[in-house]
Amino acid sequence: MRTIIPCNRLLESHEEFSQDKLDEVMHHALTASTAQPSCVEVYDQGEQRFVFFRERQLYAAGVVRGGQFENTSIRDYLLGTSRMNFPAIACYELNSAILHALLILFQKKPALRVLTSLVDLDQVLDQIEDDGKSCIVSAARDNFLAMLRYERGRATALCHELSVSVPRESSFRDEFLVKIYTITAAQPLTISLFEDLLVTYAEDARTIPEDFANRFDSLYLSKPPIVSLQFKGREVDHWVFDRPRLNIGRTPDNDVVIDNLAVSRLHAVLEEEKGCYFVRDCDSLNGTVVNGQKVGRTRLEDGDTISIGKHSIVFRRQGGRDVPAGESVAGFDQTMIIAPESVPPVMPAVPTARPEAAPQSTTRDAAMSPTDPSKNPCLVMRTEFGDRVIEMRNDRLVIGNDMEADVAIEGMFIAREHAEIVRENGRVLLRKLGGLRRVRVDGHAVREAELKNHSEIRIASDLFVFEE
Amino acid sequence: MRYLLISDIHGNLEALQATLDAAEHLMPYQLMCLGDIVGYGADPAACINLVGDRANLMLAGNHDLAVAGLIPHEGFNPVARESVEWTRQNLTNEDRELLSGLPLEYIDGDYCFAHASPIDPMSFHYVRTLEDVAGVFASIGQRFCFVGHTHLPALVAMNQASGRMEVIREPKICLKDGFRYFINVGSIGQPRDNNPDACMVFLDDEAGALEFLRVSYDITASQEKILAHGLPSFLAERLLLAR
Repeated sequence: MRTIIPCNRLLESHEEFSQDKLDEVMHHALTASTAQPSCVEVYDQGEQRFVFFRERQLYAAGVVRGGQFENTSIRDYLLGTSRMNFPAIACYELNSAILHALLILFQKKPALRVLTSLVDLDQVLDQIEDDGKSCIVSAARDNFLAMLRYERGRATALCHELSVSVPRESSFRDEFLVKIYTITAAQPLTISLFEDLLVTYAEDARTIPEDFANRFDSLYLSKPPIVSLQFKGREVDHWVFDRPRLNIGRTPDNDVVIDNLAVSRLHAVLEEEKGCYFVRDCDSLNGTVVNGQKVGRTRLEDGDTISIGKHSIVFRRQGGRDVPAGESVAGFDQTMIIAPESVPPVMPAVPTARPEAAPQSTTRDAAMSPTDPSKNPCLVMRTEFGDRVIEMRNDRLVIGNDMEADVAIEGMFIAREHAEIVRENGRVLLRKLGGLRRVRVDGHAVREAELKNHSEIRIASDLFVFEE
Repeated sequence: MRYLLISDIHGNLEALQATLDAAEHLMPYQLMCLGDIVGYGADPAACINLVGDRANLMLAGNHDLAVAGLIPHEGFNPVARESVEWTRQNLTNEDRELLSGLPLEYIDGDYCFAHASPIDPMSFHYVRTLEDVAGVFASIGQRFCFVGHTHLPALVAMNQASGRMEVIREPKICLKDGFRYFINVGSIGQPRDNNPDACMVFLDDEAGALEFLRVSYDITASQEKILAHGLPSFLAERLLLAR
């Protein structure tokens, strides 16, 4: 069973899979992604694995099994595809709205999930339109997937192609419903409603430079290191470190057994975490020393020597690179919020002919990518993935737990409109509007404060710096 | 020739019995078992007996050899290691001797049978890509090659004239002259292709037909046995997940 994802068009497909072919297709997708987001699918009988590209970024990845969507790291994608069973490869061109909707399916839990037989779908859509909601409604069964996107109560459809002809004058909503009712005649579909529309990139997402010609697995995967046990300069034994941990101790139940009284029963462990390697002392009697220094837990580099009692353990890499922990991905947003104005209207997929893609908007929305410094004051949101710059184009900027806020933040007791930054009489003021979490400026909790250059604003776990 | 091909039973008596019951209407056929009769599941002895009674061919899989003590099981993952040890303790010496005497591959005219790959059978290489299959075809002369081991059914046809290979995703095909076939028969006792039903292959070369057949069985009973014997619960969960 294979779920066909919506797309602008199929760029290429190959029945013959090899690691080299996959790498080649991924390079094509990377290049294509400068114009439009793209994705590469590797599928076999049991599962479909996707990796998404956006503006030369390896952005996100996921796996679909039996209609169930699951978010994964890009590393998992590469490892998973190498283990598939006679897979085939396909590469698609998407657009921002399709990418966003697919990421919702992979990353978010629906607010509502019901069978069509149990709900009046017309009523659900009416409610969304009356409430002026922004959300995504998906209808799925077996290999069928259709998605209807609402922005403030207005519909934009992303539909899976089906052999049903629909008059062009119909609305996206009507076309969505016709497709569903045709399929659901046989068996009910599962309808899901997603209201949380904040998506994010993979934990190991990266921007790939223009001159990158290497293999992607050299970026993400490395051969497991070798751990060599030595005594008086001679190797006693060695292990390939290809599992999450290696236990080191005196007793025989350990992976690395050092039969010496100076060694504790469980003395230390070697740990692998997301491609990086660590040694951790387990409260041993005589301690664990790395390169001459006693350690609690430390990261291991190629050639590091761990001394335990009179023995040495040398850690040796076999090539490839560590995935750097917490590498900042320049130019990335922490979350990709598709503000309604930035999405070009998408024509529904009509089975007889694929329509032309709608004209792209020429200006980029500030929420999609960081803007260059300009005459307007800016709010810089500091995240572990990098800085996100929000330019203050108008006289008011709203910070809150609302997808439509200028600055969307998450957290308990954060209000839809939690705080605002306003320009008044040549001054810039921050005002708390609602919610229970305190707003701190330069460390002090405030209801209202004037912002100066480099003022630090903290709300819950989010930190912003105001730049004039 | 009529063959019923089964593999990777892994001590799952419920799946094995359901398979043989479902295949009764296909008789007569030669029952060919491609190995891994034991390991993971809770009925190793009963499976050895049932296959031993009925099968025309029984190959040794890596789990069978590990249980027999002929290959080290240190290379196995921790769950597999545990089940090898449990299986050893729950088989008689005779059963273990039987496993240690099983052949690694078998050739009969146009047909080649192995547990994982006919190339260096003791290494139990996974054949997972067209490149791997090309290597298999290059190293054997037979028209048909049947394997198991991966628990993932697959069918690859090679055009002998052009050398071009194609993965066939349909469960039933008509055999064509001028084509060679590589078939992974899937698993009876622990399918991993997201379909929990036991998988077998039926071949009738006179009728020119090859078909993958799936049989549902009482998974709950198998799961309960695994848990009752204190085997890792993951082995029970994965029967339903089919992964």
